Amino acid sequence: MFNNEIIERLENVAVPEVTLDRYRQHLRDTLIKQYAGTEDTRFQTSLFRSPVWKTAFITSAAWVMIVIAVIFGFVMPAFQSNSVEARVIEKVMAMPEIRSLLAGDESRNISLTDVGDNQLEILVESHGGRIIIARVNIFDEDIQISKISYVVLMGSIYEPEVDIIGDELERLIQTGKTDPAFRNLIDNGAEVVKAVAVVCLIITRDLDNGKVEDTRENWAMVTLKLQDENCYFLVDPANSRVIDRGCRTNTLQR
Amino acid sequence: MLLEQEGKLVERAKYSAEAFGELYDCYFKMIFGYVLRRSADIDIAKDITSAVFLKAMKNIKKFKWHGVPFSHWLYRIANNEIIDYHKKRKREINVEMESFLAVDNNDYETVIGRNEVRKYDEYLDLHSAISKLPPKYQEVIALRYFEDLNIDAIAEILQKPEGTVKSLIHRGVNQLRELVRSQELNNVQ
Repeated sequence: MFNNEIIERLENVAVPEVTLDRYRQHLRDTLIKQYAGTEDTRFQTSLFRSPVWKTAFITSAAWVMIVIAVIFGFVMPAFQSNSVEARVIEKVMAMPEIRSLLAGDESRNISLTDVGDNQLEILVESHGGRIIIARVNIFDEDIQISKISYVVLMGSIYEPEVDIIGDELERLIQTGKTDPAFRNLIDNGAEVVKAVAVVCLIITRDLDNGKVEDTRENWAMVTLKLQDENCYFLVDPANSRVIDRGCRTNTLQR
Repeated sequence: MLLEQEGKLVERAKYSAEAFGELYDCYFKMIFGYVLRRSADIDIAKDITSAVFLKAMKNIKKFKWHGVPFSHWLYRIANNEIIDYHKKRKREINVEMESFLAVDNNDYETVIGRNEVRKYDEYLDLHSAISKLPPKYQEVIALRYFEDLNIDAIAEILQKPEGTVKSLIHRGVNQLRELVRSQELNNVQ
């Protein structure tokens, strides 16, 4: 083999081009958030050394404050509906009860669904697998959390496990596809290798009257296989909820 | 982007998160692609790319614009991070980046990405041989042939004279030829 053969191979080989949009966006957001935390001091050190700039800055700042006051007082209320989702997530995640249920664990996934009647359902899943569902009422500008549920996965209904098949499986897959991660895996050729019925214990506290109820619901655990990776999804067929439980390289069912 | 415009953007990025975001948008794909082609591993590429941009963000104020593309500086950081990752701080960087980003490395996008990389058989064979070369040869070969950069750009990135870069490429290709030959002999046996 000669050097020019190797060079030819190097020049012509197809190299991987992979796009990870979620990762790209997440890294961007994290960097910008961290950068923004350092912006103020940089600004002060560069501008406040000069008395001329100091006066100019204070005058400009006063104008900026007036403009902001006008925007928040008159302009923003007209467009506030656009930020309702962000405010709902912020309010739910700030609740001591939610933080206590998360037990110090970071949220891994937060999804929000409009369930009608001015109600939104926010589903929070932590890295450690905790699942919390908050029901929120929105009346005009007011956001009120009405119910908080804690989902406990109890395991298979049957011993040994009974697979979900036929039309029921098809319906389950259609529900699963409402989740972007599930849909993306199917679109990339992932196969459903397992779908079993599981029981979930849902402990719900009604914040209006303080009542706590627990119910048992039949959900399904669906395993999608792509090459040697298994990805797990918990699907609540009655309420069309899909919870992405992550992927593993081993073949053990959780 | 014109070099002059890039220079102004870099200066703004020293004080503005928004401008830094614009630089990130321009160069994310290039740096992630480079690190992926150097590592052939999605998870390592994610860790190192995160470390590269974090380092760029922390040090951008020290960056002095000399009229050369900003990408050269990012490539240089990437090369250092790759060496660091493999030689010294693999576990440390992995833990640091996971906690910095607070993400799950087993999300569906990463799984799909891992499978996508596995489809490039011929590249993976070559990469397996390249990865056995000393880092100085890995760098020049990847920059020259995978990133398609010319000698003066590589010289600028590596801060080495052009003659040195040419001889590094020549010696790297020689060693790679031997590695590929023995790899192919092993496969036949």
